[in-house]
Amino acid sequence: MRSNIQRKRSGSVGVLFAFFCAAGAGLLWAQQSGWQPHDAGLGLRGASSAEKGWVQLESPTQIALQPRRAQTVDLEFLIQDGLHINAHQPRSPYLIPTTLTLSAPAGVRVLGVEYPQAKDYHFAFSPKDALSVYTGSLHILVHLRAQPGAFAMPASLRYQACDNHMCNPPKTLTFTLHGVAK
Amino acid sequence: MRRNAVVVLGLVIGITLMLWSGVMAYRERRAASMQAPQPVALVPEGANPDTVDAASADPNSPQAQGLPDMRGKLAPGFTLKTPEGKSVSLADYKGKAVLINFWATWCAPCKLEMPWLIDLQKQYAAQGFTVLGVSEDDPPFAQVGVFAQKMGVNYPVVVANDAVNHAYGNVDGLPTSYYVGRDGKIVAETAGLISKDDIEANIKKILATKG
Repeated sequence: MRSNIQRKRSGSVGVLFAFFCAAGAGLLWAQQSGWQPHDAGLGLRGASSAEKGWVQLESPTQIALQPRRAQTVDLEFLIQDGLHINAHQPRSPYLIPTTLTLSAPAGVRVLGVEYPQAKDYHFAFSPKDALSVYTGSLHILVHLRAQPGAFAMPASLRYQACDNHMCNPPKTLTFTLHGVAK
Repeated sequence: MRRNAVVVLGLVIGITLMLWSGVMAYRERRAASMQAPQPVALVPEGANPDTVDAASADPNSPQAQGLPDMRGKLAPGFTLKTPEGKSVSLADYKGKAVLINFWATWCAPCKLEMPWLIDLQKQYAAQGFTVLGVSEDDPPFAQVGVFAQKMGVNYPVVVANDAVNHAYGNVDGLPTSYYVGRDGKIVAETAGLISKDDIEANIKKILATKG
């Protein structure tokens, strides 16, 4: 009985010993080979990030309106932390403006789209080259009037995001506003 | 007794290996962070640039941006068109040190580094160096030529295609640069805006290579 317990103990100790040796050897191999616990081929440019985009719609896509009255819908977008997107009217014609496009269905009239005031930034070494950008939470106001009934209005936000030193390619966030005017 | 000694020895070996591995990894990370080109900070209007921490920007290493490490490998060959329709091949610059600079007209950091590239082209062209600008703009490409002319670009500019983007690690973020030695091998790669000094240091490295 006692020898059985001793055998079990020595077996456990052996397993423990083997575990530590294997762990040490594994870590040593990881260090030497430069292996990292993630796919270096993905990162920020990875499919998930790129497909998801850098701006998300925060507002609900369901809206309720009073019929035949001019009303304002506040669409809130969230710009990924650390990134900025160009203002609707950037300082250079080459920069891609942030633009909301709405395809008004029959019975809905878009009276106007109002963009917020942008913030000015400049590069540390180049104060003259200011950039007019949005960061964080972006509220775009849509003024519209709808006839009674339900409607679906496809919309898209085209933007181009950069961080402090790098720019991502232009992207378009598409969504549909589902409204009821009653 | 003997078994206990073996166990203790095993534990000591295992823990020592882990500690040594950790120390080596820390040293490597520290060395890499000291060698990495420093990103250039973007400052809100009215703020003091000195108080803005450039290092708080996303890590600037190409690998952190998802680019594969192509250093030491032959630069993938390509033939691309200029905005005017003329063909330009990387092979045209055989034996030269080439800075392949991916950029776009809508990329503000790219526009900021352009005057530096123009200066460096002037400074080092006689030593067998050229910048090769690869535009990531969408059509119409005429605007690329107009933009380059307006900026005073003094080096060849071509328009990218999917094949070259793929060959160079699916170029996405801009600017992205590959520094190709006279032997056709990639010596350095950078993702994002870095300082003119860092760009020049990389140019000196590729000029020092032998064809």
